[in-house]
Amino acid sequence: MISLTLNVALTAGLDLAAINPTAFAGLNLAKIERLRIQYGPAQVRLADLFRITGTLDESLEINSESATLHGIGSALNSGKITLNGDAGDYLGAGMRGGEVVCAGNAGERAAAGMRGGRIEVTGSVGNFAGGTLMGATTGMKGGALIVGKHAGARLGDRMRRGLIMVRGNVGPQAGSQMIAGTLALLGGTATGLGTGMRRGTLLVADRDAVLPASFVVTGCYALPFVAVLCRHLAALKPPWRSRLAAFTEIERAVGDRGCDGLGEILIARGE
Amino acid sequence: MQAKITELRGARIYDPTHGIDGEVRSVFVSGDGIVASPRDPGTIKELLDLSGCVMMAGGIDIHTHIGGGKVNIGRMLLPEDHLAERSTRGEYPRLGSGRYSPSTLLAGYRYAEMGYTACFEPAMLPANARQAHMEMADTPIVDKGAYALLGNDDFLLRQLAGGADPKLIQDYIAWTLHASQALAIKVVNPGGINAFKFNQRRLDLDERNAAYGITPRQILLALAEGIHALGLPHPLHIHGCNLGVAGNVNTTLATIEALAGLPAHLTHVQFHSYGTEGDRKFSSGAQRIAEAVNANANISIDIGQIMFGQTVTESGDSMRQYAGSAFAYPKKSVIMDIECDAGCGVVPFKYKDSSFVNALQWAIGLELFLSVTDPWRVFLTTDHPNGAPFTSYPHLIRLLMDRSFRRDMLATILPEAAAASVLGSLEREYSLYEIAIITRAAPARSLGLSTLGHLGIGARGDITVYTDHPDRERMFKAPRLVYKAGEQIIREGKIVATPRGATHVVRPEFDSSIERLLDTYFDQYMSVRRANFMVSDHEIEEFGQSPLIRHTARR
Repeated sequence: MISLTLNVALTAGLDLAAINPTAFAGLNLAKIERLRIQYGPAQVRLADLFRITGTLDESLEINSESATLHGIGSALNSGKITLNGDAGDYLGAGMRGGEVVCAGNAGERAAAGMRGGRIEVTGSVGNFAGGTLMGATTGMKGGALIVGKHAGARLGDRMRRGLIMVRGNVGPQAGSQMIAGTLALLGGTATGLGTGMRRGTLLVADRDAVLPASFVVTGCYALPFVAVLCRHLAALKPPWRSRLAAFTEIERAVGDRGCDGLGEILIARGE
Repeated sequence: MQAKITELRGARIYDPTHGIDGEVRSVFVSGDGIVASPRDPGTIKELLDLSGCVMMAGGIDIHTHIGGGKVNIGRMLLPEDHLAERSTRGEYPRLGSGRYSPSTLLAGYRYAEMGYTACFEPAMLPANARQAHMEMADTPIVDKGAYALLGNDDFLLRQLAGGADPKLIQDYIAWTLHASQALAIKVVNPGGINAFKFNQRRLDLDERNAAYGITPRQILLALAEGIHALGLPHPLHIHGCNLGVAGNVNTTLATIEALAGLPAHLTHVQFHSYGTEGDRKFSSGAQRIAEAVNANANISIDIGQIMFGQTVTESGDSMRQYAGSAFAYPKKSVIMDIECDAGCGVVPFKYKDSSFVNALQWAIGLELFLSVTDPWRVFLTTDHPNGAPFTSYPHLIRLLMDRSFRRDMLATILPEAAAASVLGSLEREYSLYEIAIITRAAPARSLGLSTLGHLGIGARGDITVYTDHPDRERMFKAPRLVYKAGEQIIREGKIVATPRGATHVVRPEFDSSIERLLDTYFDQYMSVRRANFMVSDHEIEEFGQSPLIRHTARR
């Protein structure tokens, strides 16, 4: 494993989008040290900011006390990146495969436009997690984002496919303009759930969740597919199994009828 | 004190305005212009040996969308372009971003980097003139100018529908040039943009506008005659009807015929040269257009060559852009009206060499370049960014100058498209002299820029020096030296100075009594008063910090 340890205090954003195990393939340490990265408006060598140790394989570790390391894992196809510290914006944005684990918080647009693989953030994520990349018309298209604490506003905005699971609270308008895909919200919710949602599923553990007026409640059910989904979620993160217990029965609401949407919000009603 | 004289010695000079074709001689630069050889050699303070180099005047792009509302909308619609391509510190004097929708700064730097020193924005809506000029003022180094759009505005259409006196139309044209600080008049889909608002989805040359009852032919003739009578240097700049429609070659030929000898410039004619032959009902009309252009000395064209890859199409032609929005890639677009006087359509698009239509479009553009015999009436453009970003010019020049390279490229496109074009059989190769014509001398002459586009005594010191190289793409990509108004701006491919370019305008005389009529019209229909609508000189000179160069009409 190659280990990068940040050894300067950053005064500007650092773009680490190009730094991943695949980019290191075939390089020796000296060459890795000379890789160019964008630091603020300037280009610097990787070794100007990081101490680089270890041997080359499929994994990379980044140790940092800065929250401005942007774009970590965004070009990842395979392999694993472990970040010990906070991530900046665009964590795993657009990533196609492999795994990113962030032991800290992540900034805006984590997993935006993600296409595959798995991202786990032990802390919280900012706004638009699983949302769109700049200029794109659809958000996350595949893979899984697992958030240990809270998520900001507009989680899964325009999401097309894939799964986001949040253990803590989510900000306003979770699942806004969703096209498809699944959000599992295991903590508290805020206003505007599923605003502008076309399709897709919001699994909501919060019994006090407030449905927007443009959602139509269709009744309470015990649906077999929810049981299958919950089994899958439990396998993804076994310690959170107890949070899924109440989904034996759900209340189903369909919307957003304000835009002819047929998305569903499933609120836990079981014991 | 006499200004310092610099002698540029030893380069082969291509100056078609003076018929100089590759002669080795010295050019003397002093102050902001080119001067005669000094009597006393002692006054030469700097001598540059440019043996093995090729010298031309600074490049002039006659049709490039670098300012105005639609360009900014394009930038806003495509943040991904700006994220993907950002300059880094030290690369240019200031930071910029974007490839096919470049920021103002980057557009100026990249033009200068290719040896271009003047660029002309062809679609400035008078209602948007202030914004367009401010944006162009923010584009460093290059000289600018803009063509005002007429032909879809309510005032003109009303006058035509009411059978107005041609003198009134002339005065209106002249007033518009003054009010919007423009250098020429362009018409975009004459009457069509307006007809779109009355739910017409196509408008051929002789179809009537549903609301005004007039035809594009009437509009074209009224404008072309008015411009001719005013004696403007640049004739009517025509973006004709039916852009991009298969079979539009007939419309284009009918347009040339309709003009009946009146001078006119047909722009991005590649997009207007399509036939309907073959299984796919899409074929090249380039040979027919080239024949017509060769036979009509009153017509000049620019090509609007396409290049394969991602770009964005930006046009005032909302009728055709609306039709094109179904093929947007990525799938998003902006189609809008501007002040009820014209439209705006921004549609991102990716040209693919595996697509029959796109591949044939590419071939049609090159066919036109190679089949029109008089280079003085063909200008090199890609209709930036509609056909391709302007940064592809060096590649395009190589395609024109190098037959074997062109054939290699032809072999890479979809074979059915290659077979549907006569491009493979065209032997012509442009010479450096002809390239100097289509990129400098001819645009300058067409626009009436007497001090630009040549290297004669009294010309402004806009000079580009290329290191001669058999690979013309490489040669034209990175000139060794570029001078702008006598100041060195590029040295060994690096920007060393960023002067502000001037703004070229034309000032024909007109009868000011039209202003009373316009005052009434503005008070009744427009969102601003006439006086506020007009862009004053000091806005350009003080706020834009861009000196005005006023050209006169020939009348």
